[in-house]
Order: sequence, then structure tokens, then C-alpha cells
Amino acid sequence: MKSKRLLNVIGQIDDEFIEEAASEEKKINKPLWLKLSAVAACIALILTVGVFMLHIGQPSGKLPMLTVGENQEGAMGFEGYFAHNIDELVNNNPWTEESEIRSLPVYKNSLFRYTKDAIVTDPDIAGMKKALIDAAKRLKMDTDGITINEVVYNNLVSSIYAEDENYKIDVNTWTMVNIDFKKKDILPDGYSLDSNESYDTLHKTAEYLLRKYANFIDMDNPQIDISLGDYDVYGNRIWQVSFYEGAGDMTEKIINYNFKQLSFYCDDSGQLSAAYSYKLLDDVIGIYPIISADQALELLCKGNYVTSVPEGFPGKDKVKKVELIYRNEARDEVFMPYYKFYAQLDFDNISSGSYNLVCFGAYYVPAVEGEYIQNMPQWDGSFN
Amino acid sequence: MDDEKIIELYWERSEKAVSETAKKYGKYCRCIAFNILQNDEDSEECVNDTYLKAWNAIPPRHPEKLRSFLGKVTRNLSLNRYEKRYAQKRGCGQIPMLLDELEECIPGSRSTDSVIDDIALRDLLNRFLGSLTPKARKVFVRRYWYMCSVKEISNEYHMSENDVSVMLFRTREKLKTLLKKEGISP
Repeated sequence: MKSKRLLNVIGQIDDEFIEEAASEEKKINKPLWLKLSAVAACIALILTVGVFMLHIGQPSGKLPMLTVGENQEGAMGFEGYFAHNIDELVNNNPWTEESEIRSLPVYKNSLFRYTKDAIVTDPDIAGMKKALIDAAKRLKMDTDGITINEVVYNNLVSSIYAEDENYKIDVNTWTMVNIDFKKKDILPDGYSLDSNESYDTLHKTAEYLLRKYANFIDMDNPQIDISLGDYDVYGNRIWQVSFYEGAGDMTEKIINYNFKQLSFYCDDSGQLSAAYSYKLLDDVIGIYPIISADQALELLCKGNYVTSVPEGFPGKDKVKKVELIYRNEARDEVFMPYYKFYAQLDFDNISSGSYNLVCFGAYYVPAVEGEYIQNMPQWDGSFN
Repeated sequence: MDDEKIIELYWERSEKAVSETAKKYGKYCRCIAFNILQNDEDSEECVNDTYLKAWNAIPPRHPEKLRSFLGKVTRNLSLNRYEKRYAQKRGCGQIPMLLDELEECIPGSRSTDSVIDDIALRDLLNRFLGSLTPKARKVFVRRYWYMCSVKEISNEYHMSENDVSVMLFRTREKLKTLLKKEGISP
């Protein structure tokens, strides 16, 4: 019987595969990753959205209430995207308006450590080390004899790192993990990760990275996400190359897209590095009912939104795009879903006349049903 | 005790080698045997035979990975025992299901297909496994090397049973495509 022979020959496969599968027996919870929050930092015109502190109350027999309150600190500028038209702003967000999502989890940010001054005075060193070891394992570094060094600044640990001859892993207090590929992992000719490259070249490069670093990326159904597509002030189009886990149902896809994403970068010489944000999502506050995009648009029109755009919502007819996202920045105490509306702005001071670009501002409406939002945001005309 | 020390004991012909092996890898080997045989007594005998085989094989052998070396011996012994005892009784344990599943991987024979030897087939399987994502590979190996049930795999990897089945199905389809492309008949 042929299948019997196949079963016997499978018994002779390389030890490494047998070991790899055996070691899983000890594995308990696989940590999830958070999406990079540093995207905005790369781009002059994408600025941090105001930080909204969410406090949790717990009415009996119900899901905990989520209270959205504004934190005026830390926001500078606004989140806007320059493009000729909205179709240029692309990403591989699995959510579409046709997705029939009725509920989504809300998570407590278990690594939340921020003071009012946005300084981490009590860094979660254990969490940082966990993130570092996780990265080291993915890179097949020797984790038994690994030396973890601390970088201290003003008597506070600002980051930790470990290295061998192939890689250097840094983890900062935001648990952003950065990996430098020390060996000459330079992209071959014809491949590039330059943020100004063409979409096609970046996509081809992403496919190459996916093949070469499959073990490190470690996703069952990796999805390429060539995102952004907006323009800088010099008229150059900007892209970001990331991967996210595309396995599972729509809810899992949404969670993975927002929390389990890894990006690659390269310097001018083509030398590679990779970065991702590592967070645990063990602490689920609850599975909350979600409103539809149309209902969110109604709330947007009523002023129930948060934004860093220095002008109020310009009107329903200016809305060009909507997507469902989790706001998951390190300084968010709670990770909850929002509808992100892109509205075309038309004020003069941000136009980029010489390139004939328009600006799309981002407006966020909580996606959790209003009855669970203790303090629905109401735009008061102030700029964060 | 680390593996190198245990292997040294075998080379020194110290009987402690066996007790240390049992202490460290007894459970591992028993799981493999039980997955195949679904019988405590038979499993225990296979594991004891594994120690004897190891005793006879080391030296001259010096396994690089003691655990997988022992696992391979246990698997072979258990499959042989299964063949002798249960081959006629369909429905015992995972094996009949596994064989049915693997049958799906085998493309319909063509006159041009070559029947390759075990070593070439093993090399092809190694290449195939190397091309899979780590998760898909681990799930495949758990199922067809360790002979774990879909339920066990779903628990180990925090996946639904359906997701495990779908992943295995896709992997088998890939293997079938590869065998077909290479014109190989197992």
C-alpha cells in the first residue's frame, strides 16, 4: 500500500523537523504582536492622534463600560495624508464594509506603564525581556547563553538589547522590537524597500522577504501589506512594507492585521532591519457589539469623533473612505476598535499646490456600541 | 542530565544510560508508542525495546539529537508491532485514518511515473517540509510523524479542530502537487 510506505518514509525525515514539532509540547500561549505604532513617525504629515485615556467601570451583569476621555498631552500637528485622490491611499486591511462583523474584543493594554508626562518611569523589564527572547527564538539565536544588556538613560532603563554575530535585537520601553541583520543581508539587485519605490517593486521585494525569512516571519498565512501610498512634501509617494497573519476567520484577520504585524526596512546600502511592536493580548475586557460603518458615519456627523485634524469635520460629502481599525499605540490604556474616516480637507495652509495634491484628514469614531461608551467623545472645536 | 552525558554513559556501557534515558525521554517515547498502538501494555513494551535498541546502537552510533533518535526507534518499533497485531482490524487508533489521509497525497499513477527509493523520497519530503511555513510544518509533523489526533493538535496549537483539518488538507494537497510535478509515485 503506497500510503503505508509514505507513512514509513515520513518516519525518516530530518531530526530538525521532529525536534521542532516536539518542542511545541512545552509551548503554552503564543504571544501576539502589536502593529507598529511607529508608522506615523516616518512621515512628516502623519502625526499622533490625541491620546484618549479609557477608564473601565463595571456595571453588574453587563460588559464593562468604556469611558472615552480626552488627554490633551502629547499630540502635535495632525494626522493627514496627501494624495491626488483617495484611491491612492491603500492598504491590505481585511475589513471591508461588506464584512459582517457584529462584535469585537476590547483589550486592556497589559504593558501600559505611562505617566502623565508620557515617560516610562516603571519599565516592564520582564515584558521587554520576554519580547527579546521571543525575537531571539524566531531568529534561532542561542537563547540559553544569551546576554541581555540594559541601556540606562537618566537612571532609567530606556532599552535592552542582545546580539550575536548575525543579529542585534533591541527592545525599548514601548516594547518596540528592532532587529538589525548584521550579516550582509542585502537585497539582491532589482529588489528594494525604499519607501519611495514603486508599488510593484515593493511587492516583489515583499514576496522575496517572505520566502527568505519565512521562519522569522512565522505566520501561517502571511499577507503582504504595502500600505500608505500618500505623498511627502516633495511629491514622493511613500510606502510601508509589512506582513500580517491572514489565517483564521474575519475577526481573527482583523485582530492580526491590527496587532500582529511586522515591517521590514533597509538603509541606503540595502542593509535590512525589521521591527514590530510586541504586546500581550491576554487581558480581554470583553467582546463588545460593534456598530456599522453607516451608524458610525451618523455619529461622525453629530460630532462624536476624535481627531487631531486642526479643523472640525468638514461634512458628510467630504468623507472619501472608511476602515475599521484598532487604535493600539503603546500609550493607549485600552485597545478598542474605531472607524477611521478619511475626509477631504480644503483649507489653504496644508495644500501642496505645486504637486496638485489634496489632504485627507483622519477622524475616529468608536466602533463599540454607544451604550458601552460611558463618555462618547464630542468634538468641541479644540485642536489636541 | 544533558544528552551528551547520557550518550557518554552508553559509550561507557553504564546501565545508568538506560535509566537516565527513561527518566528524560520515557514519557516522550510512550506518547509516540501510544499514539500508534492505543494500548498501554504494547506501548510499554515498545518503549522498553527502544531502550534495548539504543543500548545496542550506541556505540557505535553517536546520535546528534538523542530525543529524535529515540523517537524514530519508538515509532518504527510501534509501527511494526501495529502491523503485526492490528493490521487486520481497521478502526484501531489513528493509523487507518492517517493512511486514508496520506492516500489522498498520492497522485494517480501514470506510466511515466518513477518509483523512487526511500532515500530519494525522504529527501523530497525534507525539501517539501522545508518549504512549508513553520506552523504548517509542525502541524504536519505532529499528525504524520507523531501520529497525534486532530484534537490533540488543536489543543497544542490553540487552533480549532476545523482549522487543523483545513491546514492538513492544504498541506496534503501541496504534497500531492509536488509528487505529481516530479512524476513520482511513492
